[in-house]
Parts: sequence; structure tokens; C-alpha cells
Amino acid sequence: MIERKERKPYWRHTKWQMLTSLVPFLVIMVVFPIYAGRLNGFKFLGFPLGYFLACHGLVLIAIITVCVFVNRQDALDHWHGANEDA
Amino acid sequence: MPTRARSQRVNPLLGVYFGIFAASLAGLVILLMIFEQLGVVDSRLRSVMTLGSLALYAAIGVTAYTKLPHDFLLSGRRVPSFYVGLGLAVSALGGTGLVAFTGILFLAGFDGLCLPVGLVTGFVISVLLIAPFLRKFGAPSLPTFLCLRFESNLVRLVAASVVVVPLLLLVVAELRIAQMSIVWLLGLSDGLAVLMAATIVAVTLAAGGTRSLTWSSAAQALTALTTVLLPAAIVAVLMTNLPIPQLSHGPILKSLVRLEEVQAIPVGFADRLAFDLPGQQAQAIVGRYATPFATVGPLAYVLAMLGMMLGLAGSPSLLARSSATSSVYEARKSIGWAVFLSGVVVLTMSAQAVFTRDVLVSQIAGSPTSSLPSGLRALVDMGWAEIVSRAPTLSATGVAFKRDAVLQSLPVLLGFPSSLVNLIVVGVLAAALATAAGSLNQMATILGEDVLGGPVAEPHEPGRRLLVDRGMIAVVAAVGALVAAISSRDPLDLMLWSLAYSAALFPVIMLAIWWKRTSALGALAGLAAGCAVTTLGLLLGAAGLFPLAAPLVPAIGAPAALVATLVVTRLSPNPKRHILEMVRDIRVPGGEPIYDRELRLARQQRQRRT
Repeated sequence: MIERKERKPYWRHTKWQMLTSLVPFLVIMVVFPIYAGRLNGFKFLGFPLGYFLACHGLVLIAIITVCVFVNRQDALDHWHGANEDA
Repeated sequence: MPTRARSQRVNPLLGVYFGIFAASLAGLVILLMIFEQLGVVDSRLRSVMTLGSLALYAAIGVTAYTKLPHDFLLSGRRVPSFYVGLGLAVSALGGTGLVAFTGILFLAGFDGLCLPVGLVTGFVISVLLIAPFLRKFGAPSLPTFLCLRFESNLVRLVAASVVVVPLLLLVVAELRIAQMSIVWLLGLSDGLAVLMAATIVAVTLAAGGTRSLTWSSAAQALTALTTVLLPAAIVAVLMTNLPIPQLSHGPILKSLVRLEEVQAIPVGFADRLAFDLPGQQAQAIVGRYATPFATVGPLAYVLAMLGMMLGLAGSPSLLARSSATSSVYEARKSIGWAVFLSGVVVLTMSAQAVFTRDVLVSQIAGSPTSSLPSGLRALVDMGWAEIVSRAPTLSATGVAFKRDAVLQSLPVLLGFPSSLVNLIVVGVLAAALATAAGSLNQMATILGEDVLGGPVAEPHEPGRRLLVDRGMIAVVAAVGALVAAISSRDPLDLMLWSLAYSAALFPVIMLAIWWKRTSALGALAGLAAGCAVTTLGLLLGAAGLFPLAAPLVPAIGAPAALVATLVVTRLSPNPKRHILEMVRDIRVPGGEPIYDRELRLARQQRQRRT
């Protein structure tokens, strides 16, 4: 169980953790489809690059974002003693 | 990696059980294929496969019987994250998503991506902003969470009435898909098929509520995943020599792009806010596969994706599911599994669509109309495709395909044994039942706990409480079946409407956690404004008086809810001190779930009074 005075720094870290995961992801979500038409001229693994990024790219980045977030946030929990090992 | 001691142990043989289930499923399929080659009638094989799998789901549901409210409402909070993730991934897309998104991708190409990819990204928002905190809170339903967070029974009732709308829409959409699958598999009449689907869902749920839901939908999700991934892998081996269609359909797409240029398939240009994806009736392909924005404008594409994202993140039935995990960390991990599994399914859909288009463009186009290729002839005979052009030779745009049958069409086009086609439809049925059961269970919980059990926050004694909840499952199943039997609306539309409503819930849930000051009045205003604006947008859109299509309605509904909550909260007095303290507690993992604590305090108070 977390100590009372640890709550504030824990929440501050959690907020930054959330923002650093969320903001780049949202930017990518908007940028990839918008430029898909122009990127389609390039090829990657045989896919037109625009299509690859809007489909595979976003899915892969979503998976990576979630995995990294889960691990980082767990490390944060341990750092502040907010983990549930009791 | 940290190791965790679980306070409540889960059955250590669970993996073995589900391994046996998956193996017997694979065995059944191979057995039926052998019987098919031996010449047993197809319809008999179909009924064995359908009834066998349905009986299995119901059996799992019934054996998960429980007398404890803790198990009935929260699955005992001890489900391993993988099984929760399985259920989440399949019910995010649902049977509707499996068939409709594949069809849309095939017919409209790139533009169809915004819906399924948007749904997958919803899990990212969910894990960052909502799901772990709701697990810490530990409430069995969304209105209960809002009621305790804002200490207001009015919020509970208003939230209950707003949350029921997307849940009912989703139940109806999935029952319709289940109905179509059952009609095709067993040859029943429409009404009977809906009745059968709803009965199976109710029987599966009634014994153990959320506990039954968790385990039966894990089995259904396994069935659905196998049946989506397996045929695609077989086709991929034939076409690309690699059994990973998700990554290996690139070269096929490359040659497809070239062929489409050679055949001069027209390229469309959509207006910025246009949104015109294929509907339920048979339709020829639109535009070239990899060329963006032929039917959906660029702005509409991004808005639809963000709308799907918020809709998934605010979806009441999915949020309730990750509360069944054993800790906050496990809840986060369950979303990790969900985003991985649903991502794989979406990439498989993309592969299926590309393979089907390749068959259409390279093998069907150019053959004479008088003697159709055998695969296409079979498809036309089944009613899944129509020849629309009168030209002597077929062109790629001369064949119309039924959107909801494209997923099953590929094995037919390639002349595979019909067991494989049956298998896919059984998988779609499983996904539809899993999603319908999830929403139905949450709806029954809301009606039983929040509407009938409320407005007081002190539940009845366990026996009566479970009787009410079980009764509500029957009632909701009956209502769902009735509406599904009457409605003739495209299931995808219903699903998109449901997502539009849950996107309007998202801001209120998010602010309840991330903004301590959010007041009960603000939440009420947010819920009401979101629901009202969404309803208005959807109704006017359906009547043609409003330019925004259903997937774009969240773009006005969610901001309306957000602004209303912010403004009214600013105008209302600060919340009391103990509420601020509770919100601080929601944000930190560990310790007693807040729902349990509140119930305990309420019980103590009652005892002190008597």
C-alpha cells in the first residue's frame, strides 16, 4: 500500500506517463492517414507505404504503446510503493 | 518481471481445460472434413457443428453456476488477464465487425480501415485513461461507479437510462448477426433463429452471470479467433507460401495495385466530410484498393477513427469486463492482450480483403459472362454475389458482392471444401453470441442493481439480489429478441450508433477520474448533453437533414458532453472533502476496492442504527 505523502509525486509521474504515451499516439493517428496518398508511391514488404502505415503501422504502434505503457507504469508503481504485492 | 501472489487462486488447470477445448474444436473440424469427403450430406454436418458448439458454450455457462453476488457480478475478481483480453478483443469487433468490416475493406479498400483500426486504437485510450482506475474502483456497473463517485442517486438513475441505450443497440445488432448465421447454418425461419440466439445467450448467462460470461465468452472467442485465422492462413499458404497472411499479403497487394491500374478501375475523390461506405445490399467494388479517400473524405476518415476510438473506450460492457481481473496491473495487462488479439484480427481482415480482391481482379475479370468460373458460379447460386453488367466479358466492377458474406466468400471462390465455409459462419456466430452476452449481462446488472436494487446504495440480501439479477437477464434477453425480430436496420448501423452513444459517455467517465472537482451536477449535464446531441445527430442524419454520417456523430456528441461537464462543474460548488479523498484513492492501485469499502461502510452504518 502506498504511503500518503507519496500520493502526490505518484500522481504527477502517472500524469506525465499518460501524456507521453497519449500525445504522440494521437499525432500519429492523425498524420498517417492524411499523408497516406502521398506515401503510397513508396513500397515496404510489397505494401504501398501509405496503406501499410495506416493499417499495420497504427495497429503495431498501438500494441507497442500499450506494452510500453503497462511496463513503465508498473515500474512507476513499484518505485512509489503503489504495487499490489501485499 | 515482478512476481505476484494472488490473494484468490484461480483454477491452475484452466489452461489445460481451454487447451482441451481448442483441440476438440480442431478435431471436430477435421472429423467433419473427413465425413464431407466420405459423402455425408452437408446440411447434417452443419447442424452437428452448430448445435455441438452451442451446447458446449451453454454447458460452460451452466457449470459456472454461483450463489455469491461477488462471483455473479464481478466474476470473483480473479480472472487471469489473458482470458479477459480474449473476451475484450472479440467483443470489441463482435460478429458484426467480423463480417461487415471485412466486407467494407474488400469493397471500399483503404477507406474501410478507419472503422476497425479506430476500434483497436480505442484500447490505447482505455488503458491510459479509464480501465485501470475502474478496476481499482471495482464497481460491477458504470452507473454504480458514477453514483458512488458523485454520491448522488440521481446520477445513478440518469446514467442507467443513458447507458442502457448503447447496450441495447449492440445486443440487437449482434442478435441480428447471430440470426443470419443460424438461418444459414440450420435453415430455420428468421423469428425462430432470433429466439434461439437469445435463448442460448440467456441460458449461458443465467447460472453464473459475469462468471458464466467470462468463461463461455473465452471459449466463444477462441472459436471465433480460430475460424478467422485458420482459413486465412490456409489461403495464405496457397498464395504466398507463408502461413502469416497478416504480414505476407504485401506482394499480392503490389500486383493487385498494378492490375487495377491496367484494368482502369475508376478512382473516386470524396469531399472532405463525405462518408459513404458500402451498405448491406450487394454492391460492386468502389475505387482502387490502396488509394485513399475515394468514398470517405480525409477529415471524415480521421474523425471517424477518433469517434470509434472514444466509442470503444467508453463502451460500458467492455469497461465492466476488465474489472474482473485480479489487480490493477492485471487489468492493464488484459487490455494489452486485447489490443494484440484484436490487432491481429484486423490485419487478418485486411489480408482476407486483399486475397478476395486479387481473386476477383486476376481470375474473374476477363472471363466470359456466358461461362462463369466455378467459384463465382457457386457464389451466385448461394446468393452472395450477383452479376450486374450485361457486357460479354466480366469486368472487376461487373460483379456485386454482399458485404456481410465476403468473409465466407473467399473459400467458396477458391473451391475449398464447404466445411471451411461452415466453420467461418460458426465462428461469426460465436463472436456475435459473445458480444451479445457481454452487453446483455451488463444491461441486466444495471437494471437489477441500479434501477431495481437502487436508488439506495444498500443491496438486498444475496438470495433476493441474485434472483432479481437472473430475472433481469431473462427480461433483457426477451426485449432484445423482440427488438431484433422487429428491426430491419443494417446491424453495422446499429453497432455504429451504439458506439456513438458510448463515445458520448467517455468524457464524463474520464473527467470523473482525472478531474477531482467534477461535480454531480456537471456529470448530469454531461450525460444529458452527450445523449441529447448524439440522438439528435443520429436521427437527423438518418432522416437526411444533417450532413454527418453515424460514425462522425461522436465528433459532436463527445465534445458536447465534455463542454457541458466542464461548464456546469465550474458553476457548481466544490465537492465535499471526502469525495476529493475518494478520487485520490481511485488513482492509486492497491488496497481495498472502493466499491467494497463503500458497501462495508454502509452495512456498518445500518447495523449501528438498528
